[in-house]
Amino acid sequence: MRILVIEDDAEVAAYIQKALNEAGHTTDTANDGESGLTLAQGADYDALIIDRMLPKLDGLSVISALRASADTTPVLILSALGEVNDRVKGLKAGGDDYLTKPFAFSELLARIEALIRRSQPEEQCTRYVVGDLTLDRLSHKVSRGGGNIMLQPREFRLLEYLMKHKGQVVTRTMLLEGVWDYHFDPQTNVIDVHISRLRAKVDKNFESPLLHTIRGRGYMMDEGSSG
Amino acid sequence: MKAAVGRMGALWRTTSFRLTAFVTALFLFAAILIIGGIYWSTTNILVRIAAEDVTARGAILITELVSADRMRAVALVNQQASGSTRDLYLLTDRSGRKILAGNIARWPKAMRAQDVPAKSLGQETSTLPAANPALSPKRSVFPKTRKLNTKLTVFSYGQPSQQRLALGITYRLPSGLRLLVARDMAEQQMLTTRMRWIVIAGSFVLLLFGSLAGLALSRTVMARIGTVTRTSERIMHGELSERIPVSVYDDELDGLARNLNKMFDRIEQLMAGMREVSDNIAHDLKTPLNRLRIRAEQALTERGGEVASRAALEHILTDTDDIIRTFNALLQVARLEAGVMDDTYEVFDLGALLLDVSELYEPVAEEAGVRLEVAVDNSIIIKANRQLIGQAVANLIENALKYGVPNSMPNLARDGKHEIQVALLRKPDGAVISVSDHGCGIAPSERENALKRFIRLDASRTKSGTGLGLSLVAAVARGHGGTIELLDNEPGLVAEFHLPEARLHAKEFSSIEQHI
Repeated sequence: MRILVIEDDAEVAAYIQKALNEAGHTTDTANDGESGLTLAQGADYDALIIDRMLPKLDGLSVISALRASADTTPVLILSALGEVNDRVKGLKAGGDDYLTKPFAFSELLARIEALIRRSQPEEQCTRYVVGDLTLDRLSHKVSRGGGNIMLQPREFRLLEYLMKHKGQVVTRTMLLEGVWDYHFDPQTNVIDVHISRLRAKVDKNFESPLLHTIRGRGYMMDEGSSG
Repeated sequence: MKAAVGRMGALWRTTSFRLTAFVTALFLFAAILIIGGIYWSTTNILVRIAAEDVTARGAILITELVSADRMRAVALVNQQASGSTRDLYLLTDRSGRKILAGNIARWPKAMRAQDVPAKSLGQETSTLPAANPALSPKRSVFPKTRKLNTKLTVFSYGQPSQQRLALGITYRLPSGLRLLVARDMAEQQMLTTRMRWIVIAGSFVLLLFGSLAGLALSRTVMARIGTVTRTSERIMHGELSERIPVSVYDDELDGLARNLNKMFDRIEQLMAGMREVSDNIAHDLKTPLNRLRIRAEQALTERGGEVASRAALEHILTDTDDIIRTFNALLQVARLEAGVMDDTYEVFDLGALLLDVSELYEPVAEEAGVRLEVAVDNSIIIKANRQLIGQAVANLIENALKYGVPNSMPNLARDGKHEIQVALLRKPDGAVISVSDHGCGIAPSERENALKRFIRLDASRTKSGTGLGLSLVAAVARGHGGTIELLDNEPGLVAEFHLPEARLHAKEFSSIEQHI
């Protein structure tokens, strides 16, 4: 995937570029808003990572300019401003996701990959399948290996989110945002406990686990064993 | 001299003085207008009365004179003239030089050209200049020889040193004699002169009083405003505890002073908050930063090989994350202290949010051997910042989980002793979220401290966390115009989060009670 990073801090930009390249993406960088906008308009990128505070043209203006020219490339906003209203403003300006600095690279990678996946045209799935696990979004039924699994509504939504991002790492904050719609940072391991409960229902008594813990990053739903 | 000019300039620059000057000028103008109107109409009436008198007397006399011979005419005029000094008569020969009878010494110059032939007099009285509506003078001041109409004229007479004004009419008798009938206007003139004086003197008095009032007003108001200016200057220079004195009058200046004082209170609070933040940063961020530095230094000096340095790096990363978390929480509290922005408010069901957050923490509670019970009395719709309220509730539950369960006996939940109750109540003055535990609680003397930034009561120093949990809850409450109260649960702690009536949005629904 081709990703453009608009970031004025050279060290951060180089770090993101290197890490994204290692993850198998092609990256370009721009160190100010104007050159970033020119690059973004000139080439076809799969995703943009835009810092909010940039020299010459600020990040939100870059996004507004792109959206004004009907460019729908997914944008991840990086910002040192993490207040609730800062986030709202960023998303209103046309950003697709918002990440507060300082951030863990695993979080950035997981989010940018989720954005790229989301932007790709996919038929509206009514059912998700991972290995022998099936989730029916219409009938709210989950089954594995022919047997039904009873889930609480919240567990269902958690599993749905994980299966939707099949093969991708999903971080704890992404789960808290995607499933519970909270943007704060809980001090206790609430998400881990919810995951372990879900795991007890989905993976227990089965030979090959589907819900994997990726150490230091988050969780991933996949048929092959990894992490 | 220069100083006096400067002082006048300073006086003129005060709003109260300019305002008084303006009002005085306005009153002066109005007074002149009113007195002028009275003056004008009075003289008007006086002149008219004189004109009517002159024409009436003239008409009567002429009818007698028309048929009289010269001797008789002289006798008649003298008879009339001897009566008074106010009614004036003069009978002369054809040329007007030889005086035959009357009480005026000379034929007035102004009347000479105005001689009116009265050939048909005696036959037609109607041609006589009777009371004529067009007679009134156009101006209230008498110019010396101004014609009032073709017949009536104002003229001066008497000694050159003591000229008097009169209003008169002239006739030429059929015999060629000239007759002048007039009325002395000295009284009227005196009245108008006096009125002119009243106008001038009154204006001066008004001007004087107005200026004095303006001076007094600007002196007092200026003095009080000067106090405000001086006080605010002192505050700007750092004496934050200074306040503007409020007088006993309780007027609008006092209202202003009170508001300004409130503003200064707020500024002082914010400044104190800022100082507290920097002190706390120094204390609570320096400690983990120092720990971080020691760890990095140790990793550099120790020769533990790849595995040991990787472990050290992982430790460092965890420490860094903790510092970032503390920093974020601190920043959030500081920002909240400055007020929650209204544009982030949304309408949501507080009861549903409570159930939601409780559900999020329920598995954690169960792992800790605690029953999390939620009692939502009424579903209450509020307009607030959902994220912040959610975080506040989460913090309260986390706090209860962290400190509300004695470590020594974690498995007593089944007998109902170790449970955390989350409740939502509708009170007359708003809504109350209460989270209560049965832990060791907080001593009454320490409760206020627990709400301050960074405070971690000594008993809890060993547990993880930023120590900002309750202070963030307090900041969220204050940001929404509410309060947070810590009470005794005997044993344990009850944290009550009050949201004011103003935050409530719509009707409440029937009561729901739910247990998780």
